[in-house]
Amino acid sequence: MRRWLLTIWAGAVLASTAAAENWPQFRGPRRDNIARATGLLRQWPPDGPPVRWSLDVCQGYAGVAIHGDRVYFNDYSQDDNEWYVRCVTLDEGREVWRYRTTQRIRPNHGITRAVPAVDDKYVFSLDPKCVFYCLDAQTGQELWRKSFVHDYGAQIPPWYNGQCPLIEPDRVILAPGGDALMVALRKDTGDEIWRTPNPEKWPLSHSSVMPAELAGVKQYLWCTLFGPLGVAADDGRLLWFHPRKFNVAVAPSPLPIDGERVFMTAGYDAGSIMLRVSRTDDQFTTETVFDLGGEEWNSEVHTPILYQDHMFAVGKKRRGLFTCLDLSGREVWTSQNHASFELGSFLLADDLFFILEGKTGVLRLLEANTSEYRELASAKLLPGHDAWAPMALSNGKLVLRDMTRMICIDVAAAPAAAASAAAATRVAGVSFVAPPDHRAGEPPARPATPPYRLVRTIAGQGSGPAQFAEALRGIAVDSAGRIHTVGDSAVKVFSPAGELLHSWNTARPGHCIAIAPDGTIYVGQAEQVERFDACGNLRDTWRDPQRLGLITAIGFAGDEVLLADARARCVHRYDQKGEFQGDIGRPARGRGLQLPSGVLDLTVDNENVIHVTNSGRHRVERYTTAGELLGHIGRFDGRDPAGFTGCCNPTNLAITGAGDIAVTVKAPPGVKLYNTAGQLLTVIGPDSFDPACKNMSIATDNQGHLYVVDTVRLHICVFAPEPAALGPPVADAPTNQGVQP
Amino acid sequence: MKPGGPLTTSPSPRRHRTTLAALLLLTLGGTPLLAQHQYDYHRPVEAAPSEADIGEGYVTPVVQYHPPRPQWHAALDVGLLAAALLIGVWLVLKRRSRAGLLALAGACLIYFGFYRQGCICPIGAIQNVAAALTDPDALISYYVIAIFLLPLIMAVLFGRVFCGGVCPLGAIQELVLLKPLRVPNWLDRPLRAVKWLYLLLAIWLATRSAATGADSDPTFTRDFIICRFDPFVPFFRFAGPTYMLLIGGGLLILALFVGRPYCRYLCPYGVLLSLLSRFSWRSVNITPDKELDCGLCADACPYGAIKNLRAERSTCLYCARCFNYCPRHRVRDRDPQPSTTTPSD
Amino acid sequence: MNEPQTRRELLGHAVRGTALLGLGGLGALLLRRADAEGAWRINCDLCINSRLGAVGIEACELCASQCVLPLSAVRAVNDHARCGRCYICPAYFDVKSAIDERGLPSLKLCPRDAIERKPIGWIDPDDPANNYYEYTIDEERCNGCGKCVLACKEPAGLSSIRLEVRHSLCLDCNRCAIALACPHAAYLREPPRPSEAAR
Repeated sequence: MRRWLLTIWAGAVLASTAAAENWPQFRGPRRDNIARATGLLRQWPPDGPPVRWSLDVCQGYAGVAIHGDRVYFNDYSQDDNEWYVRCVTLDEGREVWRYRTTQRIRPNHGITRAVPAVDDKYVFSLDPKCVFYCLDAQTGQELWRKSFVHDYGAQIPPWYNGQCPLIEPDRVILAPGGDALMVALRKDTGDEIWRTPNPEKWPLSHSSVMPAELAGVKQYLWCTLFGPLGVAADDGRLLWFHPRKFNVAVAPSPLPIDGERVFMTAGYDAGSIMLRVSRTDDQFTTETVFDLGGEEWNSEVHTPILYQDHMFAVGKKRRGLFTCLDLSGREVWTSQNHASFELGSFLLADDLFFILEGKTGVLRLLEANTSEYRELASAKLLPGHDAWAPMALSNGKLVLRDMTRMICIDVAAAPAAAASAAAATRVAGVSFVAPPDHRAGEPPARPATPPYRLVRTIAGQGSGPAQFAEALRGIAVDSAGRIHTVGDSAVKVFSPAGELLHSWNTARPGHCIAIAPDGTIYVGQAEQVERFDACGNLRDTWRDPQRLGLITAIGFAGDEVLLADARARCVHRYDQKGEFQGDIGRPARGRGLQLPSGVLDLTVDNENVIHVTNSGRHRVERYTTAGELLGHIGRFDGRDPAGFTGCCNPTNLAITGAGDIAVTVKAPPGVKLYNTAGQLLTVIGPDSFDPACKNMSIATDNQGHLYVVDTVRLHICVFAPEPAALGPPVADAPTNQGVQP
Repeated sequence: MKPGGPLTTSPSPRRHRTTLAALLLLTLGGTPLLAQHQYDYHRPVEAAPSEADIGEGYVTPVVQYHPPRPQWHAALDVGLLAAALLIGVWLVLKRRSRAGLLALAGACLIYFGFYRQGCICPIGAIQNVAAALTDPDALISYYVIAIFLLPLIMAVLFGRVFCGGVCPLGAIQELVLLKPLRVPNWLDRPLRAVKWLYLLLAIWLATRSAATGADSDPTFTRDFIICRFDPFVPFFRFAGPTYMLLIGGGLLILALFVGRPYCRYLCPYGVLLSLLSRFSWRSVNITPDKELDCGLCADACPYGAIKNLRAERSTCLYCARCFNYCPRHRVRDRDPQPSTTTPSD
Repeated sequence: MNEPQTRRELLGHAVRGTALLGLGGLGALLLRRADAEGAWRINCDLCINSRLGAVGIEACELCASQCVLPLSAVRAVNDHARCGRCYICPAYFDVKSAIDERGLPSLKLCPRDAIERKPIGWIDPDDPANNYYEYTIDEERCNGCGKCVLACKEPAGLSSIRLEVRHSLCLDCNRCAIALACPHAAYLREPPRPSEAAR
């Protein structure tokens, strides 16, 4: 049977179909949702295919386009009211550029929707408010834009724009509704080549334009709420229109079957229709081949895939069964009794179907055949709901997403040639979004981390001068190894061996202590920060009851002093004079840091990247000093030892000299050491601490020791890595000395 | 010979009253044991827009909520039932007043019948009790237990006072009775057996498993046929299936001439009451003081409850008609003081 | 003469005592299963109008048609916290009806016109199709037919409309006609959910 000839027009994309085919637009290079990949895995490892990277994205259904090693997609920031087109690398998910424009878009079943269309030079994207952008593919600069509303008098459809632009070698095709049913624009300038008038003012819905050759004439197919239509490709005249009512919104696009038939399905009880388009001379006529009512079969959101003269799509009945239909509309097989997919997306590659379960995020791999449902593998890689966005496959990597998270997985047999030399491993919840100058990607090769051993304890509970009576909260270690502690209403300084050097009182109970590069000692308290010189003389007090709540950590970045405020749930930036500069981590919406533990800890690494504990979200977040979120490590996971459990963990953190991140957790208390990639290096178990400990402050020195505050026994545990233990254990150490990592 | 029949009315000692009170408390007290039925009607709410997104200070309205019927309604009903039973006892056994009983029956017909529309009643409660005893998932409310047990307890103590003054179904038949015909014995006996069959059928159907949806299809699902074939509730509601209105109407027309046909031949609760009242501690004594054996009361009872010139406890429906037929009653009415002299015979 | 009477009396007391004990025992047995607040309720996980997976069916209207009352005691209610506040609500509009010039369906779904639609929040004048609307069901008009419940079901809606029994109207029949008619055993005598009990 003659296959419909879309390939004639997919031009540039075909040139590189061999091994690494791009996915340059919605539904792939030929707009048929089929990837010409080979050598894909037919079996997956028990945990599923390896996840190369994952990103947090704004709520929505915006799939990606892939060109070369770049991935392009739409995103949005609800905190800043900015709409983005982002470009990240395919191998690592590292951001290359981000185009941003201010747009207030309120969520209406998600925000972002469409897939950009890209080629070597340009990136074309439609935003939810029907503004069409042409960006430079290398830099993300905006070249020109058009607005459906202002330029064509269209109305933004309910639930925002879902149409994905269609690119041809020299033009881009859009269907704006309003004054023009369809327009062809020049890629470089955006000038109109032709437009199809819209006398009936058919409104814009969510369907995308599909190229086809029907009755020997190249045309573009589109569907409105009043029926599908075909427009001539060369000059945009309306060739045919088949009146058939569709309800509310049309999300799927017309599917050309062969040179004469078109299949159109839609949601909201609209059913499906197969029509035949024929031509006599210049007159086109259409007739209905069959019409399935709403109770029979329809696909709500996704356009079916045509393969071996059968159509494959997820239907509506029984929570979304993946159905194989023959060309007469008869159901050949469904996934009944096996799986239901709600509104999940699907893709065909290498005779394999990849289908997402919309509700759960489970990805299923099916063998593509026309006789039965045969599942080869399945994996749960995405957390959750509304995994409806279209997927994209290129170079052996599949990019998929659910409502809020996007991941890239390796589905090819051999890992495709990638920038990174190390094999991709499954990393727990790591986000690699960073500006190009930030160190990200694979950690450098290093020897295995030695376990830690408790070497001594310092201070303790009591009323003596070297002891604490009620509370021991903060700790900092200066460059000479002197241990500064704060608790009750006093600061006590100990030598590395544990002898009390001196102490002084503070006006209020101190919650944290930090030593500035110039030697000033900062003590964070409720509503204020006191600054002392190295001998303990009070220099000044920064008091601000309006702004400062409870300062639980202090750090220094450049000239700025960073105060972590657990009550305001953000980090305040002050300069050396005590002038307020700004906040970090406090978005306009009130999201951001969640601190059920009541403690916010921060530390600054050598590159002035600020690490904070977002304990309610079970991760450590990284910010620039400007307040931009770079990424995070850690995730909630009860089974994986690298994950965090409980309501709020980790509570405190410190960074070792080697750049590793040491965090303390509670219930049960312990210390965990991670590298910057989020891989767990070692654990110091609960035996070293009182089981009721929580919010244990931690500090490091430049010799690799870890100092952890036991908040119940009111002493400081000093841990050293095994081969470099400092001296014999002290006689009055707690009885459970044998610490194991 | 000492005056008075085998059973004389004597003032009940206090301990019987306290026993009654204790039993009432037993049935009404107790801690609630809520069944663990939780519905997991759960949809993701993240897809709904937040108030901040909607803007302009919009506040999501609270969903319309209607609380369940307050419990004191049901408690009041139980209390009124207990009170009506006790008043009935006093009216019939102590005051021996037909007029008073009619007034009580009328009041109960209005309250329990037309106002509460006859539901829930002790007759139907048989089914609830049967279901609750056999099905671990069936629930029964405290008040239904009390409504079921109170008339039975009174039957053990005082006889079928429920039938006489309280039951609205009985009251409606009582009030329409014009000219009672006597039902001959050969008809009366087998008809009385119909009650038994009805009771057994009702219990059997009430203990079947409840309908569990389209998947399973037991031949007989649980059906409360006493409620379904209740002849007078459609009158109380002024609505109901046509066939029941016809049956109820037919029974009422029959009740013009035959005394309380439903109560005597159909009521399943009457089976229980008749069993328990057989040994009641106190019962209707037709004569106020001494037995004359004159036989003038023999035609008094429209329900055939006078056998051998005595009120048969299991069939006596406490209607208080017979008192006025007794000559001793008229003597007492004329002469308010109770007679203390013994007649010669 | 007294002895037979005493013996009969004793027998009578014994029988009565046994009977009372038996009734008391029955009462105690029943108390163990007793629940004070059971009332007729609709289980939305079983109700075919709400249950996921059943599509292409007509709304089950038994709740409206079977109740012995002239106007059924069942009402539909929209849970506003879950409602999507969409411009085109599939429960408010009959989505199959013809589209008018604003792009909205021309007919309403509710046969008794019981749903009220009002715009809420900040209205964006440039984007009329993406403003939010609040949908409330008027309890005076609704008869619990369930059409809106079915229409609001996923994926067209967010399943925020459900059917509830109004206990102030329900006669609390011992033999509820709706419960017997419900083909999915979704109408049951149940205690209130904890969220209701908390109010």
